[in-house]
Amino acid sequence: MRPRVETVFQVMAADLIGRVIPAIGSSYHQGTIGMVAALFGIVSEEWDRAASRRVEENDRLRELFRESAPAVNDPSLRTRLLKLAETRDRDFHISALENNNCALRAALIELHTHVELHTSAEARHVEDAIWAELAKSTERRRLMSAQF
Amino acid sequence: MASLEASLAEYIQLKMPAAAEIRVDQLEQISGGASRQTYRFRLSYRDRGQARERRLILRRDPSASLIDTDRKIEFAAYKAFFGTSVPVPEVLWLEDDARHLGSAFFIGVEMTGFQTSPARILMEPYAAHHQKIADQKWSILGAIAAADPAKLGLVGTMESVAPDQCWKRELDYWEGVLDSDELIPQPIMRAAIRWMRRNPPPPAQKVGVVHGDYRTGNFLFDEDGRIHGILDWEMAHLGDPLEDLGWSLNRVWCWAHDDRRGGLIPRDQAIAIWEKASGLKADPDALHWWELFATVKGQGIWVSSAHAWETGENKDPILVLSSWALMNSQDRAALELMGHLQ
Repeated sequence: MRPRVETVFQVMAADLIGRVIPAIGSSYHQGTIGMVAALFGIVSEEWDRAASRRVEENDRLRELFRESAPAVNDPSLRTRLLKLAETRDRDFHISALENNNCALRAALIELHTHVELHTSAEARHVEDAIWAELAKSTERRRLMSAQF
Repeated sequence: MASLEASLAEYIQLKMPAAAEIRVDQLEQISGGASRQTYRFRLSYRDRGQARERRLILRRDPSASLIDTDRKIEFAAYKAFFGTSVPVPEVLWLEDDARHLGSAFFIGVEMTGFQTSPARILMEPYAAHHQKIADQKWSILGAIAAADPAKLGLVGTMESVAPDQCWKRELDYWEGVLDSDELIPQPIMRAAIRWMRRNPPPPAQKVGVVHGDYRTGNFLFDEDGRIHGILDWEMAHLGDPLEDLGWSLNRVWCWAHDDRRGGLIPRDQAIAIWEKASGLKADPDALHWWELFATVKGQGIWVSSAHAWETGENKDPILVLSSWALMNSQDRAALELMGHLQ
């Protein structure tokens, strides 16, 4: 789509803030339009990276499951992790990537809970890798407007 | 169907039977927290022949809100602290019967001419008074912590809790919110909750009144940096006073995009002001637990706001904005507290 979606939303957000809000009499409605402008700003930032960050994260989680499997001594969990590690993103709609991401993150919670209970060096290594990935996941989602 | 102005006038006549020529006008919806519809209006009437006028606030329950709260508790908290060293607006009438205005509500006195916006507090002339505002902000929070709930008449209205159960009750509740409302898995919050259950805090030094949402954005301030009213008591409850301190220090309230808490002062300074005013100790390990809890509670609110928008009738943009804008920051705050933010 041209003009580019992210640019359109950026310009529309600026227009709402600079031109529309000052023309509104009610402070409540000014606030509402201000929130809509902020949402446009977030959409403009998220639009271009939305698929990319999900594909990257899904791949990283599958890789993590594959690497972690030997440290998992619950056979059922190990089998499910290895099965998820073999999945692929074939449908690149955001909703499909998001569904895959949810399944992978739910399994990540199970893996994390499991290795926390074990004291082996392998379990600690997996736990460190999980924390590193969780930190990375917040970098992928970070917004320029975020307070933190 | 009668207008809201007419319905309000009719209701107020019931509460002020001696008043004559009651009239409500200049009704305007305003931003007033996320859990209730808030309106300001002018009340005019004659009292024993004298013309009178009051500026009032109506807080009415919406169909769905960001936070599930009990208006009776909010009303009781305002009533309890009115006239004390904790400045709050006066509240007048609480009404549970939906036949008057379509849903339950309460009415209070408007405090006019002040600001609440976190964006405004970063601008001049307010920015020049950050230390002064912060001194009052955390001193007032200390006064809330020091207050005796029994003397305030809040025991009975607010559910009691034993000192060693404060943490568990709150964590159980907010974990339950995540369980019921999360639309996507929350691995960081789940890890935080597991750690918190393995490492509970010591019993509360005292069971006090917890405001529940004490932060920049929920108090009225003026151009000279004076705080005139603490607002939004909808999540007030009895509990560990460190809960409020931890919430006030939450990274998502760092409005200036730096380390200053509430956009005002460094964390250590805020804690020192609170300790002096409350007479309580902010044990570092206990406070760490409550700061981490604040991230779970915050995420619970952002998750439930997304859930309310997606599944309910309330399509207020604040439900989406709070979720989109704050969830990742809340995760990062938890990671930082757990020592895993790279």
